[in-house]
Amino acid sequence: MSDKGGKAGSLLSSKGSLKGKDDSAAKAKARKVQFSTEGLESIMSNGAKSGGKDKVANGGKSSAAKDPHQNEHRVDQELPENFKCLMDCEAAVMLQGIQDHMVMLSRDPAIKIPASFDKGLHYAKSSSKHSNPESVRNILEPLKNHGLTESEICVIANVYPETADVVFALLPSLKGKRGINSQPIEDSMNELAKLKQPM
Amino acid sequence: MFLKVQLPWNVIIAAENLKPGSLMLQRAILIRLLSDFAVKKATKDMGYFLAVTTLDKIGEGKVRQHTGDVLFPVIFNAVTFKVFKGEVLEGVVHKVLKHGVFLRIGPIENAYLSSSKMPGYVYVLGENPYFMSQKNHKIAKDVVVRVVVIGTKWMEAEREFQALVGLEGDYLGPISSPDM
Repeated sequence: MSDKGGKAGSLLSSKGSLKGKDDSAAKAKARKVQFSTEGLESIMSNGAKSGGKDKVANGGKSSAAKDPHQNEHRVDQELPENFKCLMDCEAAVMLQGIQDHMVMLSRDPAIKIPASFDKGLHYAKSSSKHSNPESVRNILEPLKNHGLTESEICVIANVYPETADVVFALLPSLKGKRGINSQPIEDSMNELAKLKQPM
Repeated sequence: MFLKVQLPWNVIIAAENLKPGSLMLQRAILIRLLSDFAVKKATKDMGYFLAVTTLDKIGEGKVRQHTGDVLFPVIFNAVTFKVFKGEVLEGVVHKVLKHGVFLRIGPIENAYLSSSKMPGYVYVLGENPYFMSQKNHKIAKDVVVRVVVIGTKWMEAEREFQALVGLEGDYLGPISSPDM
């Protein structure tokens, strides 16, 4: 089970996010690094001169002081087109397939296996929580139609959350779309929970 | 997270390996590809190279002037591992220090979780030191911890990544095995 202390924290952070940009900016500003406040002071002093500039200053304030956890999860923007995200369970199946051939492969001294292979396999197997990656993929794939990216779906599959609340807590990028697609996510979590039950 | 990538690489076969019979040639190309793949270990863009899964295409060979080697463009699929900022992952603690712990996340040996990013946890000194929270959750050696990645760094010289992770956020922290 995850750290239950997180639930007390969740009340605070969910309140912060519901109130909107300014509060989260103010909250983040309190604990953010020095340079952003210095920059803000110069913007604010310029903004005091003309009313029009105030809006720019405010806009600058919230963007400068945004919670880094919120706007950093843009995995898909970093990935070129020929990259595809794999769920841990899918990767485990692929790597295990290679491991099964390892005895035969190791007989040929010319064949070299990357050093990270063992660690990758071990991690995939220990982190993989589903025995059937295909059914997980079938359950989560439709969420793409509700605005989730491939990488967000993979993070959900890897974490294997119990409720939709966990999904929104761990993927702040979804918070902005909460009203729109909380129901499909809840449905998917229920389907995933069914997979947990022993057959 | 794991990535499946399709890559176009150039594989160079030395002239002495160009025996007649295409099967030996294909084998030579494959061996050379696997060797290059294993040696490369990791790149900044794709992360740690784990395994080649399929070989899609071997293009026409081009003879290189001066050396007599032949260069074959190949397209293949591979599985790699890379962590991204904002990603939620589970790592295993392998070292506990006064100011933080080091986690192993897959091929990444040193993902650092600073004590400043462990709100509510205090360091407990001892032969096997650990961090304890007010709710009696323990972060010690060999404990699995769910973390969020705050930042990553690619070290060109060592050809590896380092990561900075944190527990600031809901549902993050040590994971205990489920009660069955």
